Amino acid sequence: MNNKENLKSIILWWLGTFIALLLIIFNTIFYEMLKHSFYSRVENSLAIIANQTKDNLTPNVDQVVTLPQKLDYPISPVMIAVFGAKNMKIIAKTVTFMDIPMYPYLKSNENFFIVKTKKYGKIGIFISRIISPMKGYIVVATPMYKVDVKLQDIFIKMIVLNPILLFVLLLGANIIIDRILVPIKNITKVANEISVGDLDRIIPLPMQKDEIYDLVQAFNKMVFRLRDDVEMIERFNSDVSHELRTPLTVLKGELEIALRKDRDIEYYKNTIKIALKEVNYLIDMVEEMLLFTKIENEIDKKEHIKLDELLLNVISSLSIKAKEKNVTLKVIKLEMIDFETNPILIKTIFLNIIDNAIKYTDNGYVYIYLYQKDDEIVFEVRDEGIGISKQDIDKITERFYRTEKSRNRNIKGFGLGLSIVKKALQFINGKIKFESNENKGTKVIIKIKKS
Amino acid sequence: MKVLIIEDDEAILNMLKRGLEDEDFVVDIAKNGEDGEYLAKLNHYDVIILDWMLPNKEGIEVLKDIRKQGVLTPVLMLTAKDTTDNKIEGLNSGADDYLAKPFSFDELLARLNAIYRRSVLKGSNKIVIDDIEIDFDAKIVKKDGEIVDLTAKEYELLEFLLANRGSVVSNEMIQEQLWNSEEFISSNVIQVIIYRLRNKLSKKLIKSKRNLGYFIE
Repeated sequence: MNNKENLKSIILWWLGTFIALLLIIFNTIFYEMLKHSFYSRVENSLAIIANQTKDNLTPNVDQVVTLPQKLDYPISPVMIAVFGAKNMKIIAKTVTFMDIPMYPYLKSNENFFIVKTKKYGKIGIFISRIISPMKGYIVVATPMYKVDVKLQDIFIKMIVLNPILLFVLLLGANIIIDRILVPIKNITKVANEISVGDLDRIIPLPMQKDEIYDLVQAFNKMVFRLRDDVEMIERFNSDVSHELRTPLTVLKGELEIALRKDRDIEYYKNTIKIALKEVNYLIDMVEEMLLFTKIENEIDKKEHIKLDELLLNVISSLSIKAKEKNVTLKVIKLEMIDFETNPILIKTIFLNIIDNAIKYTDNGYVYIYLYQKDDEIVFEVRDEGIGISKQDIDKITERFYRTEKSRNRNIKGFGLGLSIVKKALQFINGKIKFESNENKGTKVIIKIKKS
Repeated sequence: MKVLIIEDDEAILNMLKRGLEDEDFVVDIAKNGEDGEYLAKLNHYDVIILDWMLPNKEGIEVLKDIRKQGVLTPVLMLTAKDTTDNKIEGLNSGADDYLAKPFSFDELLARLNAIYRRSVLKGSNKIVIDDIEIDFDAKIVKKDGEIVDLTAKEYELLEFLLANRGSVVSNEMIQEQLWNSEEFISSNVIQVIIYRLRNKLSKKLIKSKRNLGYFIE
């Protein structure tokens, strides 16, 4: 994560920008308020001075007033002048009073002005009317430089302090983000280390039960699921390779033996027959494995079919196999059922269930039922075979699952049949149930909703 | 060479039996671990070919059990598993060699011969006695540099006597070695083979010990 854009720098960038903007706005408002308060303090002081002066005006002959001497002013320096009401001319003034035209201000309704002059700089002027002892205006003025210096000082402090504040905030944010990112970095590290061959890794759960905790938990669960899936695939691979190796061994061996010496035609014929048988077996195996994928493409295809007819077709296609094992297929109940569904899925279900019953039965009967009950179609197959043990019964519909018994009895298969049935049933709204007694037989009940 | 094949898959079993008999092996078969174990303990074999995956009792268990009971016959394991772990487990349990399915029949033959040479012929592939030279790899016998035409049984018997060189081999031992458990032979067949071997090779090579059997010095 050197030159790459990372989460931390993005967060810090946005946070920094946001805080900087906030600081600028906040400080501008603060500065303006401060300025206002300083100015109004000047205004108040000037007003007080104006009133004090007004009260202490001494009337003179010729309607001329004299300014009081040495009053205690809250600010300094103070310049005072009195203007007559009629001609707006100065009647009396302190020595310091500056000579700027007052006329526009006197006419205004406002009391307080900040005036910029070339000669005296910024000056605060307060104007108040006088009624006695004569009519006129009193003007009190003071230079603003003291206030302005104070404001400037504060402004400079702000300029210096704000970036420091921003820096400290970002530093804090940086530490917090680092802390938040530690578990995320852990996840990344473990995730990088996990591979198909090494799915035993888990990320240690953080102490705090927060979103990161949830993330870690979800991640670990995902790894567990993956591990299960990979195990299943590995088991399947090992099963397939085992099942493939047997016919291939026979094929290879038979062909090699035939070629070792010159043989008579009968010998070659026999070898070819054996080879063909093994090739057919290999083809069946591949077909069955492909059926699984094929089913998924069948979901949307529906047509009206006569289930009883389809079942009879399936039964007759299996009759030779049944005869070879001395198994009698007996149809006990067969109702005429017209049903709109996918024929391939239904056929797959019928075929697999009856085929299983034949596979796991030697010398016995397989009873077949097909009927309607309420709004369900019921397909039942009962055999007199080896049965399924209690611990196996929940697992037999799992993909590639084969019971110890069926392996030991060398019954060919890959544990795909029932998982294919289960998958097919999902698509046509059906359910499967097994009732079994070991060494006595198994009853498979399939119910398909008609609606 | 007499071998026992313990293999549950009928097609493989038939193929191996036919193929090996065609190469003048004497073959006994067992279709499950228990039968195989019984035969291995009962009879003498030069090599046992043992499948890993067997019904009732796994091949590896059979191997462990027969080794426990002191059967030292070399064992070649056949298996559809070919991971290194399995190989190690097989060899650690007392297997002498290991062949993964699908294997080449030629390789199986070569390995069986190698095992036989190692265990029975003590590593040599050629023996010279006086003017007679026996090549175990090519299964050829020469006298004065000329190839002597021997039948399979004649060669087998010669090899068996050489494998047990110096010790007396009884009629029963020869019968067990040269014919499988299902074959019955008339009593003088062995005598006939010995007679012919003496004629083809040398009168002095195979010596008799009355009522006990034959031996090569």
